Amino acid sequence: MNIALCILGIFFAGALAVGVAARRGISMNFEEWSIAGRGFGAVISFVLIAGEIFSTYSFLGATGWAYAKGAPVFYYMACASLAFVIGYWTLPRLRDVAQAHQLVSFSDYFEQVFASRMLGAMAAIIGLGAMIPLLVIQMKGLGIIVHESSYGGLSEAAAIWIGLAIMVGYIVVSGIRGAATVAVVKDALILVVALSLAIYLPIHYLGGYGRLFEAVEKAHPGHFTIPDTGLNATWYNSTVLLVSLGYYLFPHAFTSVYAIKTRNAVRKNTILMPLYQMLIVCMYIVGFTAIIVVPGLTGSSIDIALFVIVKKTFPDWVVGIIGGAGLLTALVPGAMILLNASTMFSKNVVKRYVLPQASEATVTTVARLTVPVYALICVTILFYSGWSMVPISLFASNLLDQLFPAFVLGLMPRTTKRPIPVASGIVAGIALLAYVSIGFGGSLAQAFPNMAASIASVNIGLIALGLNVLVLIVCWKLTCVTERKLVAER
Amino acid sequence: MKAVHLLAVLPFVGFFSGTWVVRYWGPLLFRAPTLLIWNLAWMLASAGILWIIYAADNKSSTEQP
Repeated sequence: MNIALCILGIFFAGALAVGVAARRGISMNFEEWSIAGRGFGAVISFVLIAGEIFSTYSFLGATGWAYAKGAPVFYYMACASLAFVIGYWTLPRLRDVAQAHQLVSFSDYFEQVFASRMLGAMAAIIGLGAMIPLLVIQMKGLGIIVHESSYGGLSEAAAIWIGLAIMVGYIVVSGIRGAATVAVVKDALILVVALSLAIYLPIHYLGGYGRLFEAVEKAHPGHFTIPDTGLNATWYNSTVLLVSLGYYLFPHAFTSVYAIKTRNAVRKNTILMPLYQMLIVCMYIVGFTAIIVVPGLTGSSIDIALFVIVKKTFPDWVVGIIGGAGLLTALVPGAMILLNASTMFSKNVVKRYVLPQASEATVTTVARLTVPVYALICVTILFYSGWSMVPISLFASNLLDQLFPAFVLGLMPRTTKRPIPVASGIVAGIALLAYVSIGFGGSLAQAFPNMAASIASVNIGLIALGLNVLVLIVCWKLTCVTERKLVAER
Repeated sequence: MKAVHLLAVLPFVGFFSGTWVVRYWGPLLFRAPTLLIWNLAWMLASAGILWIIYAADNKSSTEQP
């Protein structure tokens, strides 16, 4: 057994132990299990939200994209910062609404604020469906990280099974507190790993940052400019807008806000979060260094650019620690997804439609039982479907973005809540998304050949959101007119 | 809505002008990628602006009885 594999084993066991121990001294009811009794302070909620931002996407994807695509990868810095500028106003209000209505799950928000079971059901279906590819991506990332950092000592499939079993274990026992405690360990470790890599690698190989960037520009002229086609300026700006609007609509990020104790803790989080993106910049720098040190990676090898350069540079045990940090970046968001899917299923599906008389204890038991079942569904899809996960996960996040108008309308205190226009907008947006994404692989240019090239580069999610808002406004006006007519007739 | 809240418009102007700045300035600025430097500056500015707004909000909420 190699030393890297031993270290990864310690990380697996440590995550389980820390996650399970988080339960100590707490008596678990449903609200405690799913949102920590709304008792998280500024620090713990920061690491939980940060845990969802710095996932395997940041660890493998940011490095790989920086390696292969160059400047367009910086879009993430923009959308993550703007999301928190918007969040300064929306998130404290969301926390207040959650407190006032005693919200627990993602779809509770849409059901209770609009007093509409139909909207609640729509949000539950969208949320439960969209979280599957999101979890699958984390698991796939976990498999790659462990397989690479153990020098092939553990297969991807074995790593995925072990990772899932550990997440299921500590989520069933400790709920959100398990995820939050593992997130604290992860954040401390990732801070050390990302900063060390971004400082050591460029200085060791090229003697400094200036030389690194000049060498990359010389080897790949145009790597730091935005291309004229493909990931061009239109794509960049539309993606920044779309992602920053929909940033919190991932159910696992959304419900983290419910768990925060005070308004001020939410605000402090939004101020600090843009600074946290520095860690992702560190991973970009690792990707750029890899261009010079390990050139010529193509296809799926791009995703492992990080491990190619790390293995070339460091001894086994350091690779093991970096792999361990990567492993935790998959476990934190993965566990939160499992928690949210099971909370939503037991509260908004089982209690609402199957067992309306169920006690809170029964709902908690059903939620705990759902955790392994949902994990098994995801792992089955991961192993037995031929889906390419990137387009599916883009489709999933575009789907969740369609809930943005409903989210904002729900936060406005003096607006009449009209569920029908909101639902019509969502249906229109999703129909367009499905038509373009499923029928034409997400290409607007193929779906609408007569469309101007400048519009065809716009992110499809943003176009669908535009249609969604348009339909919402038209239906809203129609509802107002009809209501006035009814009142006049009376 | 207080006047200080209007500061929040600046990060939007900053980030959405990024691609234009790269086109105007070229790929490297101070021996680093222009867009990286630009976005880093706006990331720090976003946090700073939010902190100013937060301080103003807190001040007015403590002044009100």
